Amino acid sequence: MTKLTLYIFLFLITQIWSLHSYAKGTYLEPEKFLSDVFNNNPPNPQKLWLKKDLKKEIKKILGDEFKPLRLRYWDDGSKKAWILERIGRDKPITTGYVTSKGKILDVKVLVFRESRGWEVRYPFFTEQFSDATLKADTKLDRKIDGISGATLSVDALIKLARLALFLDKHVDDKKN
Amino acid sequence: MFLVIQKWHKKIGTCIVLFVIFLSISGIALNHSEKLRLNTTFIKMEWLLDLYQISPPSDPISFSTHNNNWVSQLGKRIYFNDKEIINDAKKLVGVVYVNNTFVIGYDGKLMVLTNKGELLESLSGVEGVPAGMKKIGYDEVDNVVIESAHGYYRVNLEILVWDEHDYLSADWSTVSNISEHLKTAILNEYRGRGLTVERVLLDMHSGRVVGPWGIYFMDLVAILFLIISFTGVWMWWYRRN
Repeated sequence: MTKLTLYIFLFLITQIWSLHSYAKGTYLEPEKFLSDVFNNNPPNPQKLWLKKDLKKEIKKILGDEFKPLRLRYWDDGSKKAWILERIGRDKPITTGYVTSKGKILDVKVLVFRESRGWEVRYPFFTEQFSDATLKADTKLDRKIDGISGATLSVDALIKLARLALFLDKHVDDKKN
Repeated sequence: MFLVIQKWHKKIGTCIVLFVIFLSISGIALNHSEKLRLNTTFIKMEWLLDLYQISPPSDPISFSTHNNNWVSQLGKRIYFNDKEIINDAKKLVGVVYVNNTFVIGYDGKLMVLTNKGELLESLSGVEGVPAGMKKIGYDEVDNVVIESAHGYYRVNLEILVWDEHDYLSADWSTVSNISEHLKTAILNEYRGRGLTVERVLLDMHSGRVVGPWGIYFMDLVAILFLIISFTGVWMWWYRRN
């Protein structure tokens, strides 16, 4: 009986611990994300001015105003990294997107501050964005399966993915 | 026996009908609080703010800058004049005015505002902002200078190249006394964004709004729900047989 109680106690402790460790926090330091993307040698950040017309298009994607007037991104000529933030429910989710030639190469949730919806960090969710492109109507070319209980976080990551692809195209168009 | 239970079923049912209606409506509203924007709509009623003791933890810590503009911290919130710009800050380091922009230093981050107070950009460690920021200032050629835990840094924010030095002199941002008028405006803004409709509705739903006894009261109401459920089923079963 004592043994059984001890097992139950240990089981509960590990469950509580594991739940806590999955919840909000910094999953990947943004510096480490850039370092991983660019093989320990990230380029200097580039500046992108978000002028009136561009902001109008961004508003169409996000559904609300994108406040910054200037955005930094990292571009080594073959791929670009974007660190973007959007509020899921109450607090911003910091997410890293790697894009190249109109395609998403990778998505990583870097900092999650909300108390719910952290499941979006898992590869089973983020891998759905691999190779995603943008259609003419600025929607993704595929359906991203949601996660029950994480609707707002899922929505935030999808909108940011569309934004990253849109900005990737904008930068490429400006280069050409 | 049946008549006694029926009598009490009716009495309890009549007493709790308002609670059934309220808890059903508040439950539905709370389930859709994001769509209904209950979590971003703030209560302005003074008596309710007093009831929740929504008041600032201390006086604001303020830094003055160009053209009589001010940046202040009150609790975890940072204000540009009386407008809240950051709501989750640990420590405001200061503000400088360079190249027609306000550069606000806090928590290892820089927030850059235009001279109209619009957000230009936010910079963090990933853009090179040094950790352990202690002071922020500017030099004679409008570079931002930062004293951090590991040394002194100078940066031109346009090209974002950070130079590290053992020591740099600068015109440092320092704490100043804020005017009473602005202080009152910031305190009012703090209170005005301290209590959401969602929190009040949640506390009304649980009874917590009137303190610990409210929770016991709502427990009692829940027990009455159970009683009328059981008595209702029992009466139906009794009549059927």
